[in-house]
Amino acid sequence: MYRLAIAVALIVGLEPAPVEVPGRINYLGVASLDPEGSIRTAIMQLRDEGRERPYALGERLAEAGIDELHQHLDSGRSMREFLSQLTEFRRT
Amino acid sequence: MEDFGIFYGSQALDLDAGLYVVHGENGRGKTTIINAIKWVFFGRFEDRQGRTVDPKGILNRDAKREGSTKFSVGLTLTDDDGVKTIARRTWEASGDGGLYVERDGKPLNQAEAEITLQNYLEKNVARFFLFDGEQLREYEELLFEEDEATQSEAVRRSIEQILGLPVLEQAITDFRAVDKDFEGKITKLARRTGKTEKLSRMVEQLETEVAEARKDLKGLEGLRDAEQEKVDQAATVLQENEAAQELVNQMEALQVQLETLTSQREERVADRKRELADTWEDALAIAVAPRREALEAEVEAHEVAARAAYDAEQIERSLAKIACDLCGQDLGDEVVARLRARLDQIELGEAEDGGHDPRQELAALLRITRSGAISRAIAFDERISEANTKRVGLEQDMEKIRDEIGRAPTDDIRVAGDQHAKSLEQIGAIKKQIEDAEAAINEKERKRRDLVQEISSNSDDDGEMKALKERDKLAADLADLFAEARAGFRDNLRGQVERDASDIFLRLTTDPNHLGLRINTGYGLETIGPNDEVFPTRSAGQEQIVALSLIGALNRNATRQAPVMMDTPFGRLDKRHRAKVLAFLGEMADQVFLLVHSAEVDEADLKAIAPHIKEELSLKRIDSFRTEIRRFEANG
Repeated sequence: MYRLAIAVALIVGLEPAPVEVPGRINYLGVASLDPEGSIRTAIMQLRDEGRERPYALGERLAEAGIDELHQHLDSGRSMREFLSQLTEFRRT
Repeated sequence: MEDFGIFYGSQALDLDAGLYVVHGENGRGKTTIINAIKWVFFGRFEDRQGRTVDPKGILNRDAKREGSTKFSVGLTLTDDDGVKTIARRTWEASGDGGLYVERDGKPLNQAEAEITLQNYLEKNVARFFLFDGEQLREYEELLFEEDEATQSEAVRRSIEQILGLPVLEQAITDFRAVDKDFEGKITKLARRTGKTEKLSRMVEQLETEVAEARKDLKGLEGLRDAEQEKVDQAATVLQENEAAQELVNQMEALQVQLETLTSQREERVADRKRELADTWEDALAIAVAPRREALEAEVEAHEVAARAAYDAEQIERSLAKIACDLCGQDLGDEVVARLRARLDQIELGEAEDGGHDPRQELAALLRITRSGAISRAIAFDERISEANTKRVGLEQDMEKIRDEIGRAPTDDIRVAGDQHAKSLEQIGAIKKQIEDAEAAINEKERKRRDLVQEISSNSDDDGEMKALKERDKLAADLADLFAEARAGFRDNLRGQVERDASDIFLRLTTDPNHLGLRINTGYGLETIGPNDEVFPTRSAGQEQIVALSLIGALNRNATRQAPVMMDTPFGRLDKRHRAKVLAFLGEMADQVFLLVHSAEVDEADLKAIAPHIKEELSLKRIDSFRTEIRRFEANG
């Protein structure tokens, strides 16, 4: 869900959440979270502010993505709708 | 009847040969009259659920309130030869009641009394003379079972009893007994001579073993009959509650569907969970797609620019030398002009940004690909929604059925179903034991006969021995002769019953395609149509017609004619069938009683058969707990 939340924030172009949670991502976490570095690549290429510390930004993007998902589900819509919208989303 | 059921005080039916019609609305005592007859003969009767009615509940309520503690029913039977048998069975709360029977003016002891009544009407045979139109289940085992293997043994025996087969069976038994008696005397006589003493002792030993084995066999037959009765009672409950049983079956089927659906839903939930775990890869590929496309365009542009630069360089070198850079050939003015024009057309791209390599960035993004997990997760989620909708539907259906079942005696049905299955299984096992026991007895009997034969051959044929041997041979030959005749006799009887049942059926049915009835070895009946085709199903009304046909046929072929009493026989019949049955009734037996209510037969129906009616009676309501038997008055 964490990785999905990052992807959601990147798709929608969300503003990252203001606050980092210290120690949330550590080297062990990175190894299991992003073994092929695809999250790091995506953040560095899509967000200029992520070039220096992509995982720190990733954490704040994840928070924003989770908020987005939560708002969607809280409004009574389904996970299925959310995922369908993602596949149709195209940033102009 | 005295204080019996709804009949308060002493009330009697004085009947002669002929057709009697007794009118009575629901609850006025029509079935009670039939039960009264059963009470006299058997000392008990069953309710509609097949349960034996407690005598305490039979005593008339008003009589009980007045302090009476007993009821009784008396029956006077007159044989064709004028011999009268009077039977009265009394129940007393103190336990002092009992059976009194006198025959031709002479009182009988208890054992003789029971045997006399049993000879008139045996319990399993009663259904053919005391016909309850509401209880067709009693006849369905006759009408539906396809072969003897599944037919109730008791039913087959009871039909053969009506037809007189037991007389033949008894004759065979008697001759064998006489034969055995003579063999015993031969054995004893031979022993006296001392020659065949050892053989005689072996015979006696075998006789003892056979006697023991027969006792055990009788016990097994008793067990079989007891289990059969349980089967019959359970079948009654199940038949009575067929609709509820069907609901129970539906409920079980729905339960299975629900369990399957739940299991499948759980699998889909697990599948969805698995796919959801991978949706981030899909989502990431979606996120980077625009950037990837932009990079692909950039790389494409760089390649175009690089090609253009190369071409320009080549042209410039050629123009500088005024010779082809590749082959060295001099260039003419025209070619030079074309090359200059071409050079002007070529657009050189911007120089590459030293810090940005689109091809490297593109290569990194190409590693982020769609896995299809989002589509699959969506598909599984849709199936879970469908399963949820189906589950709601199933639960609603089950709730409806639960409401209906709530009104039915489901515990009784379940118990009856279990008992039916269990008892059938037991009967199967007991039948096997009976077969084995009979085989063992037959083997011992064979050995005994061989030994007796040996004794007979080895003994001197003096006067006494010779006479015994001759009589023994005669008894044995007679037993064999009757035994041989038995199968043929049985087949003849069955054939006759089939012909008569068919004949009556054709008079009662209204369907022109019904061409007759066919009887199987267990006296089950099939309806036959054109080309000898068997009709696979029958309606309730048709069953009733077939049952009446069998009863009529049995009465025609019975060794002893008996009255026929019919309680509500027309409930399932339409007007045409009713008219046909009414027209036939007078021929069914010398004495026929019809117990009917007003919805079954009307004035017009009875007018058609008025000349055949001996008397019409009515069961008049006095109050909820009392009925009086009166002469029938129309509109009364």
